[in-house]
Amino acid sequence: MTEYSPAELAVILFDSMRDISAAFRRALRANPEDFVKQSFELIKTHGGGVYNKVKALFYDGDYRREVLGGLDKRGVKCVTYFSKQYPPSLKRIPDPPAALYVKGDTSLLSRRLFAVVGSRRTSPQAIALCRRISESLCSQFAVVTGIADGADTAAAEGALKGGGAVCVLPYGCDYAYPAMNKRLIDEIAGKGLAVSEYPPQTDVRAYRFPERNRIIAGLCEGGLIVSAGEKSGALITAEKLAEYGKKVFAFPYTPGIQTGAGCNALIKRGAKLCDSEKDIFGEFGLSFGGRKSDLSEEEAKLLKTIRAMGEVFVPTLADKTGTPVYMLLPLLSSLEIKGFVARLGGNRFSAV
Amino acid sequence: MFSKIMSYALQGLEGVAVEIESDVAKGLVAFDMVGLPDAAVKESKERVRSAVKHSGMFFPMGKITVNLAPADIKKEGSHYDLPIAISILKAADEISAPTDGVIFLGELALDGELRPVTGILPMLIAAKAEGFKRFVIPSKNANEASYIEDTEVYALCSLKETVEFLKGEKTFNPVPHRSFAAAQSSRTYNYDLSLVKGQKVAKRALEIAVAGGHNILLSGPPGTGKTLLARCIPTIMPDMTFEEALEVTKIHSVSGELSEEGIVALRPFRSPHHTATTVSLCGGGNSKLRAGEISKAHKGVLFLDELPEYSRQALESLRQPLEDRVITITRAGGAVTYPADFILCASMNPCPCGNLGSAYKTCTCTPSQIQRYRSKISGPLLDRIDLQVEVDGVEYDDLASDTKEESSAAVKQRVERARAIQRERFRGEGISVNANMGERQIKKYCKLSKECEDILRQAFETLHLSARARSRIIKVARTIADLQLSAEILPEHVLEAAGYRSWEAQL
Repeated sequence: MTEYSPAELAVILFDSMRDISAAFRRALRANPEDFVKQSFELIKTHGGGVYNKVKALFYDGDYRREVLGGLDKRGVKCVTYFSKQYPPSLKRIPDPPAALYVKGDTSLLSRRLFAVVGSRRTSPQAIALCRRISESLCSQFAVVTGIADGADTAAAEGALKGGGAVCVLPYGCDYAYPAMNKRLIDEIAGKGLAVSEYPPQTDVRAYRFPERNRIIAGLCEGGLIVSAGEKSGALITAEKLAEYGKKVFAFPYTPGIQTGAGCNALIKRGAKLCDSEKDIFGEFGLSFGGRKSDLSEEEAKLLKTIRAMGEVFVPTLADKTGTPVYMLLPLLSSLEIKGFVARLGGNRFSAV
Repeated sequence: MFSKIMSYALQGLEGVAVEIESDVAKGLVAFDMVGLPDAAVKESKERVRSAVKHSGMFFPMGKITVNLAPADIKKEGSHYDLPIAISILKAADEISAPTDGVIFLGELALDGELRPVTGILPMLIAAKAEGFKRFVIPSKNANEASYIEDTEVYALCSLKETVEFLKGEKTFNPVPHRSFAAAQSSRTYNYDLSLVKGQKVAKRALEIAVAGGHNILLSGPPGTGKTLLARCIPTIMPDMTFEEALEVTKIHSVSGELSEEGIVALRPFRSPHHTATTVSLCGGGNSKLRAGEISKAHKGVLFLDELPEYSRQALESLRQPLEDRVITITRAGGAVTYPADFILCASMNPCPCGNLGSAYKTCTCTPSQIQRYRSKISGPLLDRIDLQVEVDGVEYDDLASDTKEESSAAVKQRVERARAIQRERFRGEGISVNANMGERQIKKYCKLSKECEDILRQAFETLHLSARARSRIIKVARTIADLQLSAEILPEHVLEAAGYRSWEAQL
């Protein structure tokens, strides 16, 4: 069984009793040194029934073993407000989580952290760019993201490849939403770190998503908004990042693209425009080694043509270059595998 | 008096000789039929009685018993009318001419005219194999019978003519033999690849699919020409051999779907609507086990438009025939095996709103919506579709229309060349195209160089392909290599093959 100090244990126990969490959090924020006593004082206001029940459970050895055993069984460790690994940056936000339930490589929390988040509806180009940037960022940062479809998933996949994926879940680790991301969550828990503010049995609720976003913002030194509609959840993260005084980056979009309206609005309000990893590294005064390029002569030539044409259909490309389609397809596949072009659907390609 | 006449029964596509015995005895007037006749056969009593009367002959009075032997096979269809009539007339001494070795097939009208029946071809082929040479069939079935060599087929118009023929009162000429080559060259497809503007990627994929016998999935926004492309598939398939054509014609003959022509000279293209049931796709039925769409598409193309709209059950039922190339339909009444060796071409929209990949409209679906939509197609079924291709999200008018498009004939030539290479390779393996390779054969014939292995591994990592995709990509790469006349699978072949996986494309 994982060993916890008495203070850590108290946080875990209080946190396991969800109906009193607000009271105990308030106590924790107001007076961390004596929060157990303060908590009980506050719980008294709930009325005698709740108070007696909480007190009985708090000192019940069986209940204690059940809670800790449950965590161990799931392979979940608890990083509480009082733990050494608790990220100091989180203590600076107005409403820090009392505990983080983590699964995976805890040491990632001590790395420099950078958020990459976005909307579920994200264009294939942005997805491809997001994946690439997330991977490159891992040379200096661990990349923090949510676990929605689209941009978040792409960021997580890129970061997994780069070796620094942290994802913050808006529910307990027993759940996965959307269900098709279960595999990805497991992979992150295996090779990266899955973090949740909530005890494992906590289910999926819409209001927990914004709560989760504040943790992403609190953990990171800055964040990149890959895509955001006018009312995207990614904007909440951006808002929080700005509120906590972190750096906000956003991809630029052509006017009229719905999935980019939020990003453009952010840039208008002073977010930094980002279209390559250089922008981020530059802002933090870090150097970036550049992208490895092992393109053949033909591939390089084709890439140049695609760059010049923007979004391009394969037949148009064939006409333009005079190369038959069956010779183009292998080149395009190869460029896609190497991450230089994105497949947009309908046989359209664009450079990344 | 007693008489015996030969006819044929069909069980699926297999013909079984049936003896029709009649006995006319003195006694109360009665007409009994025994030997498992179904409703259509039982009703023939009335047709026979009237037809005989209107042909100017006497229908015998007395106790008539007709037996259809062997008595344990169910007799279905209306083609027993003629043999029953002849048999009764012979038993009543109206006809005394010999009828040994003649097979009679035909339905009677009340006035004695002979009406066409289904299944003439398979019955003729089966009878010929058993040594029968002479046949009397309805004149409207003449075309169908004319492609069988070394037989004497008399296509007659009425019962009266049949009697005259038997008595030798009039001479009739047997149906002249027609050559299959002539029939084939006289028919052409209504479609041609040269009619399809643009869509170069999809056309290339079709060529690969046909060359290697791969099943193919076309996905693209509505109105981008998926159906037109699919209709062009038969035009680039190698011409059917006579044996293949006979096999196909048999199925169409049994189903009663044969055209005037009498033979299916062009590769069939079947496109059942997406409300099709399992039985209509695979075959079945209560008494008569009919061939389903997959068998009617034998040696041709089965086109399933809007794949996710088909019922799950109907789609899953395709898995076994896609693997075995035949389907055995089993019912309480027996089991029948129909061939079902077809290329499956399916089409679908890329997402529920249909606009993913369109150049004009924005897709409003989230990745999980798309995932849900696509998950209507099960993994095992998908495993059997080697090529997953996107069609260009452009309408034709937008593409330069002055460019000359390659004709189907030119593509067909390349396909035939690639097929020849595969026949040579798989001699003695029991398969003839790359798509049918099993794991063992993939290991044996698709050796990948280290470079190719590296590319494949990299592709899997970057493009998030499922493990299932691996053998699909290798098989397709083999076909591409065959088309390029390359003995080895080269890196560019693997790369191109890896591109035909729109299904697994990132959302």
